[in-house]
Amino acid sequence: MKRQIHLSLLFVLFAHFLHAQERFSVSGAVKDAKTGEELIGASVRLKDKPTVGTLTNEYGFYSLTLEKGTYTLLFDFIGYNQVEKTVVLDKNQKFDVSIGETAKQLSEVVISAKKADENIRTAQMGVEKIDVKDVAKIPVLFGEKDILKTIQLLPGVKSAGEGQSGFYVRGGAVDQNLILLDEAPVYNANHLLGFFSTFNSDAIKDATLVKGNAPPQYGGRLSSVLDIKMNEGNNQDFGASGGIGLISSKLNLEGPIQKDKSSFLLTGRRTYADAFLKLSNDSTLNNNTLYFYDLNAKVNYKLSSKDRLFLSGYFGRDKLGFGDVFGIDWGNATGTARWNHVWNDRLFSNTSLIYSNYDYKIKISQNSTNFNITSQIEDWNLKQEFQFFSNPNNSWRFGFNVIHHDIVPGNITNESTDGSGPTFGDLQKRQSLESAIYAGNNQKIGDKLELNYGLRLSVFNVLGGSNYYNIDTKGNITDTLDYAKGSIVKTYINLEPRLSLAYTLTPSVSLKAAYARNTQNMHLLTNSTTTSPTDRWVSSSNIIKPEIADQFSIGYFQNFADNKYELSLEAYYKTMQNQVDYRDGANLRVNDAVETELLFGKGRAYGLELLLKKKSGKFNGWISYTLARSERQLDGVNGGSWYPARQDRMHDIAVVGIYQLNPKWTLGATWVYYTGNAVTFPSGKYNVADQILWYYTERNGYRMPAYHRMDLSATWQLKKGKRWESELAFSIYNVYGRENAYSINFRQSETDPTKTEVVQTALFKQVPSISYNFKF
Amino acid sequence: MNKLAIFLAASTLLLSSCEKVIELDLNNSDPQIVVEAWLSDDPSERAQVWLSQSVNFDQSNTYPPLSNATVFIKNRTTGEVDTLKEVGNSGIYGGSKLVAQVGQTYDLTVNVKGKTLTSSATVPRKVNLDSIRLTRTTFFGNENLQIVPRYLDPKGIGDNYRFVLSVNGNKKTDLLIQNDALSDGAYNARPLFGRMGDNDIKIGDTLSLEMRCIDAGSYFYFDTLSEGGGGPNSSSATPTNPVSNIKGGALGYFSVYTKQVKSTIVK
Repeated sequence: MKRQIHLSLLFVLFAHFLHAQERFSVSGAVKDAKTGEELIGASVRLKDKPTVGTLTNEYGFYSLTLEKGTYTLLFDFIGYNQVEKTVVLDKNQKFDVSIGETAKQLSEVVISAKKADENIRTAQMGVEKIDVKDVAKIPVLFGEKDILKTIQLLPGVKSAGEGQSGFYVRGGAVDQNLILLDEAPVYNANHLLGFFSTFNSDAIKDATLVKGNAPPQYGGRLSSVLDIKMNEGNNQDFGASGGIGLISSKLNLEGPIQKDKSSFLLTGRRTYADAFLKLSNDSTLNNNTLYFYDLNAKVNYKLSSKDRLFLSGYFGRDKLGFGDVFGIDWGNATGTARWNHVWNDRLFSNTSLIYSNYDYKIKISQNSTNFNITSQIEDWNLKQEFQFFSNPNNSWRFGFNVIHHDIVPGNITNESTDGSGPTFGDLQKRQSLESAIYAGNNQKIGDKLELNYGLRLSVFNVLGGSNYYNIDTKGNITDTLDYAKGSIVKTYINLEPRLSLAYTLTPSVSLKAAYARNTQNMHLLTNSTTTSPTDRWVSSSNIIKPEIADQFSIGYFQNFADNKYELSLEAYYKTMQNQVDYRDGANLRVNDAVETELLFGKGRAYGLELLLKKKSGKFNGWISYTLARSERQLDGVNGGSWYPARQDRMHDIAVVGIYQLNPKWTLGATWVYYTGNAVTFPSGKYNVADQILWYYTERNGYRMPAYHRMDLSATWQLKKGKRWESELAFSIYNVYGRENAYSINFRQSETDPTKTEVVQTALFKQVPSISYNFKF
Repeated sequence: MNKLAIFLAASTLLLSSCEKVIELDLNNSDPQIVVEAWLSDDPSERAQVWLSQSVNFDQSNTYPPLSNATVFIKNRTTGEVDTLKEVGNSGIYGGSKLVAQVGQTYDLTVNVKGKTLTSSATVPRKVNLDSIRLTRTTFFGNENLQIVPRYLDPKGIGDNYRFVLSVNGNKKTDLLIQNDALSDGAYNARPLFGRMGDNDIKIGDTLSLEMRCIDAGSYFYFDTLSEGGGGPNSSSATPTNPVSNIKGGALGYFSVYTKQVKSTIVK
């Protein structure tokens, strides 16, 4: 019965394709006049009937199909001059438009990149657009502007800890966020134990976060999709920009290879915290290494007016070493080859071949004894997507996606020069195939209703070539199963319906509602209090089942004062199945049958998110507030009753203000406050093996203290040359020096051995920073 | 990892993290029975059972002994039962005639505070400790002495070892364990890695290392103790009580083992 409904629904939807008569399309690209960069989300509307229109897609492409006639089109992008063009539609027309930045842009900071009232009309909800220009004005730790830290100031997104770039969305764990860089999933988006993200904001064009209600082209994670697009590179003029900061420097080069046709972009960043170590006379310090670097590269080539080819890559590496004794290096590498093709005025396709790799290598040496620990997760990913602009009221997306995952867990090898020491057996490799087909439509019904609906069918094949285990309820291995390479161990099939709708009550008020099912087959096992490069990714197996989340949300959206102010209020309720937690005393590191250490259960998360934003003017910024709970229920934890998840916290407030004092100075301030996360503390102590041990009565039964902090920044625009621009950026992190608890530990008192005491560690008091940025 | 993170943030970014003792209102809990019981193959040591209770966090570090319990151990293979007697009112029960025999299973029964606590453990095969080797490494400027117990692990997974270190005759509290899950049948080259307490060993000190081949249940107890917390310096996000091999509602463990000792002088 259920299947029949789906089929008939599909039939009705596809019927839209069939009745296009005496209609023609106008299509093309909308570009920045100065750099030739395609603009994402620029609006194309009819002057006489502004509700008829479309937005450019993620490649700057638009298509509008209208009845035969003469139309005046308005091209808009905030911060850019409006362009008006008249077009006679008696045949299909191709129309590329270049629009220039407005002069006032220089003295005003603009927050939204989209059409002024886009937030009201679009069916999508739970979406946060991050303007990269914005990110630059917001004060951050070490002055290192960072997209992942900026999104933590938005409602429904929570910081994973002091200075951390890891984040939680709507009660989900860090691994439940799909982070894409030019379509390539990034498995570890952190540098330097989480204090920096892998995204160099100089290389980034656009970032969008969707909080659980993603349209069907996205899948694979429960909580959110963070879709980050790299700049294309200026195809008009050569340009360079860069920055010199206290702990890192960066350089960005871009320019045309062939003017108007092709361009390149190369961005690099390196930290030099270890340079300070070298200055030290202390051989215990100057012997150590600690740095990371990032490289982003992109080449973009117009093969013809209908074909474009993009190649983009990211390579980043962290290196950490203590003399010759211990070293770890880790990093991501991603590569995307993408071909855009315009089949006709209404059909656009995108084919991508994507590679993604994360690995770490640990070296331990003592005299002649050497051990290496290596781990890798490698993806090959093929994506095919079609976008069909059926008419101004319907735009379709459909396609498929196949990913091959290859996971090598932390294998230990003995490379001792004297041949001593044990040989270690390899841990089982895991291979799997994650596929999906999907179709979705964005549909406008009348002037008031907009719908976005679709289906995603996800199929996960657990592949053989290694041993799998049967496990009893206590976590003991009862059977070892040997599967040949290429055989299928287990297949999981999930159908994921997605629906969101917006109903416009008045031109400035709308109501929205959404439902989405998401599934997840890649799971991160982490049981330490900080982000670690050695946190272990596992795929679904015969024991680990796909995680499933169903999220319902409703929202109220209103703009005030000619779209200067935006208010949004969203509420959500999410249920989750097959959530992973750990058995008491779980060993997740060197463990072949890691499933024996895991427990499975369900989760629920609900909350209310409020955002009030001022988008333009000399003073702008936002206030965000989140009220939320996130709970889990597993047999074997807290007697099977509901308990708060690690990321559970009740209140989160963020206030962000940016003020353009005069053409030279821009000031920024942020203040954040949140109540404590759930945490496990002891409720007693006892003595065993001549040690004081803590007695725990329940998991996550306590709360960390509340956190708050204020940061300030000031940007000073230095004298401008004809082409040369430069600025000095100052910031202070944690201005009033609040000692926020990074961790709370328990120990025998140092002053009175008959007592025990509680010790709080705070990481950062005031942290000033200065950086110099230039552009020519 | 916690400490490492703090070190990195602090020293390499030229900042200092700050630690302070705070007042935290921790919950009280009902006193829990704590059992520490062992039986060795050393006739001079034999069996001992220590019974005590947990206290609240803010109380002083004295753990009330549990007196007037009935404690007996039965050799399941021979049927021999031996009752352990309390020494004064110390909560320490001993005076057993039993000596652990390789391959035999022992059942512990404790009746205390109206509860019956039971546990069983089988004495594993004995592995010969050939010698101890000392190596030096420099880590953060501190020269550390590492102790490598030299023994040949026999083929077949399931050999579990616990080591007890004494320096100049003083027993150290470090919890030192190894097993053969990843190095079955290999000659051991792994140094002992203490996760609790600390060592400061000087040239001229006499080290003696006791190797115990312990039963699987108590190994799991010590392993979950060092992994999951329960002890100081835990950085686990979900610290838990170690998994006890005692049934009936108690904290602690019952361990049966063979033991041997090697000594060396630090040069």
